[in-house]
Amino acid sequence: MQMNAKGFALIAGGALMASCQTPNAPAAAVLENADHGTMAALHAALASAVGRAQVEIGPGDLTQSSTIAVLPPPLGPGEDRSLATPDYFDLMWVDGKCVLVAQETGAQFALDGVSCRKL
Amino acid sequence: MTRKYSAAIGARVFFASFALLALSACSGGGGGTTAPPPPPPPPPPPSGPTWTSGVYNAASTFKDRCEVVRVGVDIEGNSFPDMAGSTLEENFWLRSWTNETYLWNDEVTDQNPANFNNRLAYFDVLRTQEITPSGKLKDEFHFTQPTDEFLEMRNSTPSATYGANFVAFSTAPPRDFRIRYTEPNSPASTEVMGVVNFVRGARILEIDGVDVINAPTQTEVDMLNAGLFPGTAGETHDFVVQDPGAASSRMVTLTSVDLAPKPVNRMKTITTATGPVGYMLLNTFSPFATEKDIADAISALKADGVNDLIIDMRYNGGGLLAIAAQLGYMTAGNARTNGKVFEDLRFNADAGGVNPVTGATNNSVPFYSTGLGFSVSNGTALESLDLPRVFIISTDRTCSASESVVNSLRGIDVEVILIGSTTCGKPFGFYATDNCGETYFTVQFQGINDKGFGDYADGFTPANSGDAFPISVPGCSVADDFDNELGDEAEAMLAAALQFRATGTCPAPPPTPKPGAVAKTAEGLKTPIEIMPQLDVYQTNRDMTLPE
Repeated sequence: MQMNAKGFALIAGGALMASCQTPNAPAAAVLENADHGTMAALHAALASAVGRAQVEIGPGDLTQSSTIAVLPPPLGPGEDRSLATPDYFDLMWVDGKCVLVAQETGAQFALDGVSCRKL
Repeated sequence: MTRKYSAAIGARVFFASFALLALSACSGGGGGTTAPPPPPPPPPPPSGPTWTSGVYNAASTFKDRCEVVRVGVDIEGNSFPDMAGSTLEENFWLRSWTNETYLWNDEVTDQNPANFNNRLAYFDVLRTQEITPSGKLKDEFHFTQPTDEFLEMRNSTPSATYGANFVAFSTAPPRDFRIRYTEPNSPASTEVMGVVNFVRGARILEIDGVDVINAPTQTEVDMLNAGLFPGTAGETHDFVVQDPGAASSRMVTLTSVDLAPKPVNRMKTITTATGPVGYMLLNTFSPFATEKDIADAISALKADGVNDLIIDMRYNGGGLLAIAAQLGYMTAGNARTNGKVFEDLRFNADAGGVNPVTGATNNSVPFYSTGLGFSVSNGTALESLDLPRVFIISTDRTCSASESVVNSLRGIDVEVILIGSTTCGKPFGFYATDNCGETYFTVQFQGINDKGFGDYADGFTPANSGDAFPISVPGCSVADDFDNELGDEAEAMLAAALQFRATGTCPAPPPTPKPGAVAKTAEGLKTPIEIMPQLDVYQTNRDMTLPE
């Protein structure tokens, strides 16, 4: 009974926190628009995040979806059983700024020149 | 290594000469007592790392320490990581990297890197010499490629082509070049006056007026190569071809275009007395477009209500394992794949639960049920046919990720029926790794299905093939048929699949192969000569050139 009460208190507290998120709480975000300049800046940030000179990203409307798939390099000859998969990043609104967050590691990367809005 | 060794010798000679000079200067003095000779100089410190059998430094300590340092950026814009080093250090990297990541690292004889003044010669000995039960080398997949070539090839598509894939049954006179298949919506598959430009099995007799079969001079061979493999889009060449079964020849004029091959080359729904059957010709798992191509094909077949599926992978050399896993899901469905492993990865015993190449946890490859973002949006639910069995058409070109579809579906008790000939036998994979301008491929993992099975180094073979060593799978041994188009119900392999489905019987088998041999000849033709089997992955066709 005591445990249940404690559990309830935690849940209630959590719910209260969720309903009272401050403007600075991290939130999923999407691009304001996907014009050439925005996409160029996004590609540059993603390339820097994965340590490559240039990257391609998978399909999807980033003005509607916050998840970005960064494609691996194309397969070379002989790579007939490749374990390559895209790297995934989320657009997040953190401390009033739009950032990239790597899904695998949680690492955050600044997004200069990219306008976002919270989802 | 050679350069440093020479420098050390030079220093030692100089030092000895200087000592001698000093000695003679002293002895030229006033005739007093003779000074004792000085002690011999200490040996110079060894240049570079030294070998102790069985003791390995971390590969990272030798990485990118190059005899020849590349400067600038590669064609993908990435800076070269090279630092000044030596062949010896490159060899030490190969040795440690092999010890850390090679699947059979405990079967490699540790040899002193200093005994090899060529990195490729040293790499060549860094592998197992064991053989499979059939007598072939256990490791047939140990090779390298100059990194600039590797990068150029992986960035080469789309490329200039007619959209035709050729097969050479003989590259020497009398030459026999034929059309293996064509790409949809390509110059090769275009109909002119009701006739398709290139039909499967058509023999090429002349190119730009040069006799393909017998042309003897290098100039003519150069012209043939130029016609077969256009360098740029917009080139026009004339071909004289003879279609299968035709008594006469015909002229075809083609203009090359830039074209990327279509992974699902063609698909159809075949009406049978026992319901519709899906067929798809899946030629590769390599391009990212494969994900969408397969998803679209499965959706269309599902809409048609197919109750069986024939996946034609006779020319599929593999590619992305994740997309092969999606195909497994789309074939078998959620109930059969949920909680099951498409493929576990077995690394060397020293790796423990870690992928020794990436350093990450060694995670299984699941039957992916959603898009992964290659060409289908990440997280998009994939459709499935929910089938308890699948027919797979195979040849010795059916390799690696394609074989994983066979093995992984068998691992979850989906009945696989194999039609064609023995697959290539490559349950192994590697991470292409550059060091100092050479890209190395060494076997690093083996794919294991949900039942823990992955020992098919001699391939999978239809049950009636007569081959003793491959893994026997229910189905029919059938030779590749160059007299009918792929996807035509009269084409021998597809016809056999439909016959087996209808009656449980196989057509009369092709001539029995020699013991241990693979049935891979097309009836009435000589054994195909595959000059560059990986061409089917990239479709460049560029290296299948005629020899001098």
